[in-house]
Amino acid sequence: MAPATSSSLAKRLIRFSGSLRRTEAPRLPSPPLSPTPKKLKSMEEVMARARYAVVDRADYGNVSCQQCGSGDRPDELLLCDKCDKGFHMKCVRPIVVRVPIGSWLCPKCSDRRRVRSFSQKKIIDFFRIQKCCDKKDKFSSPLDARKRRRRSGSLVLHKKRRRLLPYIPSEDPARRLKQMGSLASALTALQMEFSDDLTYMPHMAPRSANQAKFESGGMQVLSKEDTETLEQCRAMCKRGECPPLIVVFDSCEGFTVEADGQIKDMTFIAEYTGDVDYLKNREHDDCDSMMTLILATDPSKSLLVCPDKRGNIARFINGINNHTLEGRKKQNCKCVRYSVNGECRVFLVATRDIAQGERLYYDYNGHEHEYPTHHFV
Amino acid sequence: MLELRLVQGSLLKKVMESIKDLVNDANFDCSATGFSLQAMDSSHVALVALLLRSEGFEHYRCDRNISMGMNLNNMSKMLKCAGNDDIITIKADDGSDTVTFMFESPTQDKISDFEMKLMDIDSEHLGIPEAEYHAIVRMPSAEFARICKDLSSIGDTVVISVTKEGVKFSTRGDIGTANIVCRQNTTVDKPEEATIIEMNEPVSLTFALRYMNSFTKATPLSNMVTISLSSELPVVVEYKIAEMGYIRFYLAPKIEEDEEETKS
Repeated sequence: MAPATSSSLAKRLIRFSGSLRRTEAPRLPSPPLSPTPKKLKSMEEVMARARYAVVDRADYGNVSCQQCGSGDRPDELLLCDKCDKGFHMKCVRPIVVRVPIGSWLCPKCSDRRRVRSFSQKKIIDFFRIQKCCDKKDKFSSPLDARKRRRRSGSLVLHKKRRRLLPYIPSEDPARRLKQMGSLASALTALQMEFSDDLTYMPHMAPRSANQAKFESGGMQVLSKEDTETLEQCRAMCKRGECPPLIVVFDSCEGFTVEADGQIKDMTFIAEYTGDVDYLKNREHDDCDSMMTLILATDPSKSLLVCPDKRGNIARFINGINNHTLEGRKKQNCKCVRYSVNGECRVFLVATRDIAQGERLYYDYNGHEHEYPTHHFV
Repeated sequence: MLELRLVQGSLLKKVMESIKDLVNDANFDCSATGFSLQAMDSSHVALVALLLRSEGFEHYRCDRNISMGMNLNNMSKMLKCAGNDDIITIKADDGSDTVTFMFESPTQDKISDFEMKLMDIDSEHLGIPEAEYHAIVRMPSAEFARICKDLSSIGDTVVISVTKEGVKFSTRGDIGTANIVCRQNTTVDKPEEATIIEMNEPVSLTFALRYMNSFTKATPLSNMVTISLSSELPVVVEYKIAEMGYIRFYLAPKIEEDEEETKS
């Protein structure tokens, strides 16, 4: 080994110097184990965004087209401003119809950018809502006022009732399994059990405490049609046809729910379930998902739904930010309380068509009262 | 009391055909200036704005500003019963919750009337600012419709780029990619076949093709279509309605999002 070292070392040196003639920029080593500060971008990102400098060669006399190899038709031969290679206008793909004014990059050089994801924006992201008191104008217009007066005796409804729609579960059973799996993992992470009904545990409120008549001001009753829709959805759930929703973990928002299929406006999404307890018992509880069930005239009778031990997918749906303009726009579903068979129940209903992949948001501060307001019908 | 008489009834028929698939229910607003509509599609990605000025009607009577909520599908079913040459009259009485469409044949020997129930629709009117667009392309509407249809057989999003070379429509899909370039072309026999490109700044935006294909249903309304583009703003696809007004479609672009790697 010893005598051979010097010569092999020499050889290695030569080989090493030979390979110094690289054709591309050296790549950065793989990211270090310790988290890199976010301010520094990787070389690839810098290269993807960096502007290129046009460097002219001394002699362009013998340039030939990369595609067909010939130097004919020099008036149609374009030079890439980055790699300096030649391309006939008709040989390059996409075909260049006219000699470009200014700089031009060949397809390879202009494809350098990484494929990034696109997100579809909404029209309301660009245009502000002008009038939100439209309803007031309508009601005060003589046309409508007279409509109401004439209606008093007739059978025809003044407003077109928009009824609740049942959700359409995903057709593929494997997909449904995936959706249910995501919910199961999320519940397990929070050490919760799945329950699709309101539960009345010992030491908390009994079932007899949940009576819609206790609600201050009364509560609106779920119509017969909508009750049938509710029963249909519950039956579907029991059969394993869960709503097309998937629970995802977002590093910023935590657990959140995305639509895994198209959800139409006015679709019943889920019931907000959990343990039913008195408001007074939970005053010092810091659980983040408690939902008002009954706001009674007598505060000691007020009830909450607490999905800390038992619950379903509804507790993972996130709320909007009430303090920003964008918050309102994100909302695509609403939380409503109805009286069903004398008991109060809380439901999540879509307020517009929701596309697959969209996250669900509702207004945590939405105070829905029983008067059939323009929010519901 | 509302009474609007439109001699060229086919215009209203064509308008309905162009919006009924995009919007289900909408409010038609009638005022002294004209008959208009502003509605978003159910996914809130596209917006349609229609204006038919009062001057374009043979008879226009609108005593007070009213909003009539209609199901566009039902309205379209009724309007389909009108002949292309019919004179269409829209009537609504004060205190009534219905609207009447009357169709008269040009020779006055056949008169039909259809009554439709109105609806109560919550609508939020959006303020659309008058903007200076980076690029405005005027081209034959049939050509634009053909481009959108052709590209949708390849991909589902179109990148519209306007540069000094012209306007380029590109898409990519499973089977490959497609690019269509249209250059400025004013030397044509008929002015409606010209392609005019006004560019203040180069612009490149990405849109979902399925909405574009809904917009091109308005092609029968006009020979020309005007496409106005600005970075980070919705595109405006406008079809002028001869001597009456316009129908404008606004479509929100798809914006690139940087994949940020957040370390938990």
